[in-house]
Amino acid sequence: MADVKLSEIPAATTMATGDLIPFTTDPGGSPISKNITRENLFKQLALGSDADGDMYYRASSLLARLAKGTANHKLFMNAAGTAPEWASGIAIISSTRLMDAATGDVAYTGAGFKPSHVIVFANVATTTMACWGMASGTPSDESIHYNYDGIVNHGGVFIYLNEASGKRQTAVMKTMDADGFTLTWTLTGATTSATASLYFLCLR
Amino acid sequence: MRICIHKTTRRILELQSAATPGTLIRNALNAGFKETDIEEREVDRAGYDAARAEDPVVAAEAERIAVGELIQAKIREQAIAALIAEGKITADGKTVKGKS
Repeated sequence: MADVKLSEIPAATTMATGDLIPFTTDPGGSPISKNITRENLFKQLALGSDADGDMYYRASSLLARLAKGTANHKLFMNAAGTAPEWASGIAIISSTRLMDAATGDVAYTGAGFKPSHVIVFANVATTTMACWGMASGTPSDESIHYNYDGIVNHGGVFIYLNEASGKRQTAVMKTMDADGFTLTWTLTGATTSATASLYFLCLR
Repeated sequence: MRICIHKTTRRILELQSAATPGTLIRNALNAGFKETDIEEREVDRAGYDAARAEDPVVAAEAERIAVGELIQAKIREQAIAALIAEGKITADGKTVKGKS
């Protein structure tokens, strides 16, 4: 396209590759608000109540504003995987488990997000039973546990509370859920009716 | 926090610190309890302690712990008395040189 004033371009003109609109750093002209300047272009990024720290991202072929996050929060993709969002991404859930509870799935909720990894500290008060385990979304549970006999051991389960030979509660990570996770607990043998304390650190 | 109680035995089946309502009920049902036999409550620390006070298993555990602590204290007391009698430690718990 040959050089032409913008005001003289017909409304239906289609720009071709290679056509350029020169920018000017001169904010003068009349009217100033219609002059194509870097300053005026940047003004088009005003997408609401913009503030220092805000970020902009593409949304449905347009720009959308992500308001600045809370101090020390981290940037994540939202659960739908469509837009960024700020969040702490860490939650602690405390719980209990009866040592004589039946085998079955148990859901733990309230994390506020779908964890990618979970770390657990577990024990039964005034006994030597204790366990430190970690799990990811894939079946890769691991734990170190302190047994009834004072022996420290390790194994491929998330939680291992070993009360006596052939008597224990164990758990593996079944699923990472939208608001927490689900464990599959297995009761082995006739355990006593003590209560285990569980502390989960959920990481988004 | 939320707790789930077995109405008949008053046992606390489960506690969760931040569970959404209904989570503990579903867990109990999944473990084989009948819906009419269980109750989910939102409680604060005092409410949890009150529920624990009614839980016979917790009471038995507390009794067992108390007895264990009494036994430990008695053993410690007797051991200290024996060491003092043997001249290995003084009455204020200090070791006697050459005797320890």
